[in-house]
Order: sequence, then structure tokens, then C-alpha cells
Amino acid sequence: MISILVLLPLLGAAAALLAATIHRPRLAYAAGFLSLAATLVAASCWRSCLAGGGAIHESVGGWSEPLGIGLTLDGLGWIGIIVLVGISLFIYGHIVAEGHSPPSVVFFFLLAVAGMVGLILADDIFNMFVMFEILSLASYLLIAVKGSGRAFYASLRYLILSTVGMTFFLLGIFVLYRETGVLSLSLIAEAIRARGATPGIAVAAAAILAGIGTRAAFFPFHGWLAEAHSQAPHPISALLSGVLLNSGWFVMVRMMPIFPLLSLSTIFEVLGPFTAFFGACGALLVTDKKKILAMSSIAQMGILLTAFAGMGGTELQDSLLAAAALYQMMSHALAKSLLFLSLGILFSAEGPCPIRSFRELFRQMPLLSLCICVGVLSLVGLPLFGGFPGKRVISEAAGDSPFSSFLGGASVATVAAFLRWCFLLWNASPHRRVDRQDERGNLFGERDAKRNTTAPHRIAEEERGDQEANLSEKGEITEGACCRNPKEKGWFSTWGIFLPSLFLACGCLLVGWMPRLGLAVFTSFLGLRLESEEIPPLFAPAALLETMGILMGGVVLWRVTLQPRVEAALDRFRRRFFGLDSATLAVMGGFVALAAFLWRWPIPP
Amino acid sequence: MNEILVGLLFVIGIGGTILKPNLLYKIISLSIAHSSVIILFLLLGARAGSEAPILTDGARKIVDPTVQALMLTAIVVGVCVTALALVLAVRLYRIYGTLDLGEIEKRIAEEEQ
Repeated sequence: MISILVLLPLLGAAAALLAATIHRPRLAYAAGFLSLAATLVAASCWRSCLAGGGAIHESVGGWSEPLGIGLTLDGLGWIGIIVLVGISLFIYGHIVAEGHSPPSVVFFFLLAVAGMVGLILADDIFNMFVMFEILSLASYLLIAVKGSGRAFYASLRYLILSTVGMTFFLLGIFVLYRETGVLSLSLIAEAIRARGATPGIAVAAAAILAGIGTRAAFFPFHGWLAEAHSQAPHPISALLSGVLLNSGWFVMVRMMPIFPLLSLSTIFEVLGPFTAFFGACGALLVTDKKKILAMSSIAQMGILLTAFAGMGGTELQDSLLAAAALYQMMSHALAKSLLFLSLGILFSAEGPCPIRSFRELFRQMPLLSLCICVGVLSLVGLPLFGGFPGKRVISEAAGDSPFSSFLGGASVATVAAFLRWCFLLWNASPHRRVDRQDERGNLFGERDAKRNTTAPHRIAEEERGDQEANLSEKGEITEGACCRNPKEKGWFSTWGIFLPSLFLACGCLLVGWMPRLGLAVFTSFLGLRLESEEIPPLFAPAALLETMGILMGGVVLWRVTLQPRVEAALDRFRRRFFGLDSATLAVMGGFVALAAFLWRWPIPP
Repeated sequence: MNEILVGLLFVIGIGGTILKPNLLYKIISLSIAHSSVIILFLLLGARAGSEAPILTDGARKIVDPTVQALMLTAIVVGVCVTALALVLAVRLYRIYGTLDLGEIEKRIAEEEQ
């Protein structure tokens, strides 16, 4: 019965493809919307069963436990499905309101959502592999939709790195199957507990971590993320960065109890803050708006990873950190999708013309700039916004380890990076050629694959000449297009495109306003047992002072990076393009390092 | 002994992905690495017996059928991924005129400046 949650998006995908073959794109859009909404409705049917820590198991096809396909829906997974499918519904609304995506994009979108739901529900390890691959295949195609050379490169880079990671994952499954003979997660955990931590299990753990790390972008395995998320179309970036990346966290939650005796928490203590620091510094270094958001995703995944470090042998389910990490994941998903969707609106904005810069645009669309502010402040972690409570609890829990200063550094660098991002947005100019790319014939429109493309996003240099040449190639995008009467396009296309961003912004605010209430609701829903009977005070003066300190540090850092000498040094660093080979080497090196560490110190000292 | 050879195949596959500049060689090496893990699984399954898992008169010494089922799935996944990778390689060739990844990356880095 739970499998209906995976079936509904798949049925929607099939219906969309069918509608595409009979040339009815609106039917395809409607089918997609209906299937996503139906998934949410179906998921909410189980709310009462799961409140207080219940779980529902199902064996697909009647093949039961040791070797069959198992699905489990527990409280954590339920919240995950509701949040992530809900956010993808909003992103889907944005895609439909934009209106120029072919139904094939709807098909792959729904396939990706189906894979993600299957991943969250999966209870046996091979099913996880299959769902990962479904997710990946849909993502490779979604990234390459634009049809530019750089998009193809980003997709191929993601493909190769992800396949290497999945090969390691498969290797891990092999070792686990050889040692235990079962595939179901709970039975594997029992078998490992019975045997103890052999070196084989250590290698399996390293391989599986390498596989999951490649999907969820931990430090050595992150090489695909910047290119992939920046070259995809804007709503697809929102899906990839806000939704699909976070589903990797759920897999980690499922995997952690399998290796109870290994010193995985030591690894996460080091890797989590370092990933956060690395992502935040990376966001500071790059100049492309979407790449800044992508690197900040790496930083947020690092923060989520640090939550595992606080476990120290107990399962994640049994502590407050589970609720806090879930909260953080929710706020990151909301805020990141919001920012990418706002970028999508800004770059395709057609308002009263001529629009020379975003300053004028912000004056005309004040609500949108408010949404962007909410998103940025939520990611930075200001109190009263979504990112604050989760980050607070996680950094308190990680407070005693020597690497916690990395987390503070990551916060400071994130503030500086987002200040930079806001100013990039402020000074940029819309109607750039690149952003019209998807209107000119994408991968599925099969037009003109020989086009030699595209200057990427630049900061403030604008080539009007390019734009002129472009406009003459395809007559529809003329200067007059932006003066078109909004009424011609219909209510939904003009205003409907704002609605998803508005809802996401409201979500960010909602998550942040009553954090203690929210955390209490989560902990009671998940049935967690807390050590202390209440949630630690979040708005304590120490916390607020720390936030003020982080903000000031971020502003100082940002001013420092604006100095010409520092800018020149950073520019020289930016010119080094880290190729695919070094990224693959990093994945391999990461696996070897993890395996060596776990072999040498299987049990924490 | 067999497993050591297959491990060698895996190393060759991943090494080829890293070391070979040509896109097609990279994709072939990736496929080799994927196949090596599949062969590892099949070797594991063959420990239980050596006959095909088809039930004729009672169970004899058949290979482990679970492994065969899992690997069918993995092979299909590998085929899909390889096909998609080849399509991307063809598109990249049409746009950049070369299959050399270093060359393509150099052009992309230049575009970025």
C-alpha cells in the first residue's frame, strides 16, 4: 500500500508522456500536477498511524524480508515526503507557469520525484541502489535540457562522477551481501552486530559512504555539483539543489544504524564541519550567481552531516538532533528552492520595458525582492527565519569537538557570500542571451544542436551586440516582447509564476517563527525520547550575540574580498578550472581514505 | 584468485576513467568498472553451485538466484547510463568538435573568463 506513493508520480509521468505523443501539452501539465497532488493527499492518509513513532512496512510483491523489496514509512520519512514532494509541487507550478518546457521535462521531473520518494521509503539496500539510479537518470536529462555545450558537459560530468560513486555503492552492497547474506537493512544491522566489526565491513562502510557522498555532495565527492546546478534551467536547479540533494540525507539516516560499532561519528565530526567550511569558502570565491547558490548547498549538506556526529553510537532516531536536522533540511529545501525560482523569475521577467537593471526591477516587483530577502536571511541563519533553530541545535551539539570552529567559519563565509550574491543580483542586467537559451530550442525540441554557445553569466559586462545578433536569429524575442500586454498571456502566466515563490517564502517564515513549537511538534510526532525533558532555549542571549558576531564577521569578510588586491588573488585562483579527472580522483581518494581510516580504527577509541 | 583478477578489472576501469582524455575511452572504462562489480557478484553467487537456477526436478546445485536477479537489474541500469553517456558525448562532439575532455574543458574555462 505504501508503494502507491511511488506509483502515483510514475503514473503521472506515463500520462504526461502519453499526452506528449498526442500533442496535448496542457494535458501533460495537468497530469503532472494531479499526480503530485495525489501523492501528497495519499501520504497524508497515514499521518495518524505514524504519529508518536509508528512505522508501516510493506513487502512489494509478497516477497518477504530477507531478500524481498521492502518499503518502510516511518515518521521521519513521512515528514520528508510531505516536505520534499510539497516543494517539488511548487517548483512544478513554476515550470508550468513559465510555459515553455516541453512535456518531456514533465516526464523526467515526475520520474525524479518518484525516485526520490522510493529512496525515502526504501528498506533494503538494493532497492536504494535502484532508486538512486532512477533519480540520477532523470537528473542527467533534466540538467541537459538547455542544450548548450556547457549544459552537456555538466550533465556528463555529473554522470561520470555519479556512476563512479554508484559503482562504489554496488561494491559495498557486494561486501555486505557476502558477509551477511541478506539485503534488508534491519537484518544486516543485526548480523553486523552479531559479528563485530571486521575489516570487510569497514571497507563496505567506506564504499557505501563514498556512494552516498557522491549523491549528497560531501567534501571529496562534491566535484559535480557546481557545474550541474549552475547549468541546469532555473526551476530544475531548484529541484536538484533544494529537493534531490536533501534526499541523500535520508539515505544517510537509514544507513547509520547498520554500522553501529564503527567510528563513523568520528568521520562525520571531521567531514561535516569541513564540508560546510569548504562549501562556504567556495561560495565566496565563485562569481556566477547560480554557482554561489550551488556551493552554499554543499555547505548546508555539511551542516546536516555534522548532525550525525553528535550521535556517538546511538541511533539518530533517538535524539533531539534528528528533529533539529530535519528542521534544518526543511528550511534549506524551502530557502534554496525559493532563491532558484526567484532567479528564474528575474531572468525571464517581462515587465514594462525597457528594464536596464535589477534596480528598476526590484522597484517594480517589491514582493519578489521581499521573497529573495526571506530566502537569503533564512539560509544565512538569522533568528526568526528558518535556518536558525536547526543550525543552533546542531552547532551546540557539535560544540565540544575541535572542528566546531569550522562551522562558525562556515557561517561567517556564508554571510559574506550572500552579501556578494545580493550585490551581484543588484548590479546585473536581465535579458542576457544565455537566459533565453531554453526558449530557443532545447534538448527535446531538437533544434539546432550545432549551435556554438554561450557566454555564461557575467557580472556586469553586457554585450548588447551579442544580444542584437541573437534577436535577429529568432525574431520572436524582440525588444517589443517585454512591452507585450500582460493580459494577452493570461492571468496564470503573469501572476501564477510568482505564487510558488510566495508560498515558499511563507514556508521559510513559518518554519522560523515558532521554533520551539515546531521542534516540539516534530519530536512528539517522531516519538523521540529526549534526555532532558525540554528543548534547550534557542533565543538565549548567547545565541543572539553569536549571531551578531557572525553577521559582523561576514560583513567584514565581504569588505575584505572587495579590496582590489584580494580580488586579484582570488581571480587567479578562479581561473583554475577543476576538471573531471581531478574530481574522479578525489572520489577515489576519498574512498581510499575512508577505507583506510575505518580499517585501522573500526571501533571508536 | 578470481576475485583478485576482477579487482584488477575494477582498478583498470576506474583508472581508465581518470587517465584517458578521450570521452569514449572514459565511458568504456566506466562500463568496465561497472561490469567488474557485476562479475564479483556473479562469482559470489557461483559459490553455491554451478547450474542455472531453473527448477526442473527438485532443487540441485544451482547458483544463487538472488544474485542473478540483482545483477540483471544492475546490468540494465549500466546499459541505460552508458547509452545516455554516449548520447552526451555525441552532442559534445557536435558542439565542440573534439572528443578530448581536456580540450573541451579548456574551451569552457575560456568561455567563463
